[in-house]
Amino acid sequence: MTIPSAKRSVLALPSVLTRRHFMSGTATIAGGAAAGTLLALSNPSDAATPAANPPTDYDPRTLPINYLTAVKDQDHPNPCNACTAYAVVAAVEAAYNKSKNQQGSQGPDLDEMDLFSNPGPQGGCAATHWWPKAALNYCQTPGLKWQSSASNSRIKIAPPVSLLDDSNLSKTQRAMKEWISAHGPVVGVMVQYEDFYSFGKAWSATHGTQPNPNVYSLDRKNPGRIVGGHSIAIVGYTGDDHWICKNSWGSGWNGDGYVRIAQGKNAFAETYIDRIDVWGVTVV
Amino acid sequence: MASGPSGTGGWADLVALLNVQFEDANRGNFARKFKEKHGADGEGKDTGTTRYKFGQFVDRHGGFLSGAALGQFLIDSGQRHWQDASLGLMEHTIKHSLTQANPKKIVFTVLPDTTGSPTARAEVRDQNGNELKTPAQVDAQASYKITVFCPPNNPRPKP
Repeated sequence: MTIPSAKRSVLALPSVLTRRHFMSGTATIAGGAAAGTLLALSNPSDAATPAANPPTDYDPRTLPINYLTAVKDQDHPNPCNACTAYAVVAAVEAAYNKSKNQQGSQGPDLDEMDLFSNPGPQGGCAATHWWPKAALNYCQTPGLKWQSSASNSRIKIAPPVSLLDDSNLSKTQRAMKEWISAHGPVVGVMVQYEDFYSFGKAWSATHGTQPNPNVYSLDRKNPGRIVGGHSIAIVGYTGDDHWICKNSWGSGWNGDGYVRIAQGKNAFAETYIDRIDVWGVTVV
Repeated sequence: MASGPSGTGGWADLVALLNVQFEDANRGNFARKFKEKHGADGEGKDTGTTRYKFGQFVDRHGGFLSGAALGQFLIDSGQRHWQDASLGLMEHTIKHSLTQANPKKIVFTVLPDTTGSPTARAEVRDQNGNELKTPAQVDAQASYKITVFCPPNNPRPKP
């Protein structure tokens, strides 16, 4: 199986788990008082320490104010290994909207390719990888430019917070949940196998724009080759089961552009989405 | 590569471990484990086995790396980070060796790439130093020397 070059998204930078099926309706959504309590975590450094319990399940798309912006396509108009730029911008846009308590549709549309073109990796769109830290540095200074705007104003972020505890997966996962529910999406890096792209493509082929309730985990028998790394915005979660992720392969991939990815459970041959590089952002 | 030709947790460490596995005293046992995981021919056709792919044995055999370093290694073993043809031939050589009744010896070496290529490549040679370029040429030999040429380090930046 060959992945179309258009979907060889890179970090702007890799057992048998079968796909488990979950009904989308089973995810209870935290909001209201619970989310409000967590919003008290205004200092990024606070998120690294134990705080009020995060909601058991969290999906901002079901909140009265959905602060997520539209799903973008890193391969439009031209194929580009710019997933890190798209994941970072998705997180910053959402953090901005959440801080302003406004819908994503009312928020900024920031320029991913400005981010990718300036501090971006050697090799440009054909780059093999680009770690999020470099992109996040640019988001601090000079900040992110608005898309299609004559204004020179930029949105800047506070120093990003690494949520990774390499020796304690549970601690990392808890920190991620606290951050996501309090501040907005986090930027994660996963190992991308060939079957990840086909997972969403196959769903869309048979279900159109209907969101995919299934959780992606590796096809144990034949996940295909490891393609490389992939950056993605982790916007929510369902218990200790899966992360809800906003991808950058267009709104037509996997139904609505989002994907549920199994959380790490100390099993081998997983995506390592919560083990490699995880960053929380807040706007200033 | 995440860790390049040298440094803890990098390819050099991994290759050192692989060389131990391919030593005469250990190769038979390594081949047995390989076939348990990937089937008699390495193609994952036997019940409960998966097709062998370079890099994934690190995940499946365990013990080489862990945590973020393992994830980074897996990323670096991905096809985007390799010159496709050389990756395929190295993969074939390992699979061919470990699926023989008498597994064939392989000695691995890691060297820094000096061509400026962003991707890694592997050279497979016979014991006399002749480069092997096709699976048929590989299959005809009794042992191998594989050199992995790595691009410069590109580790995950420290938080």
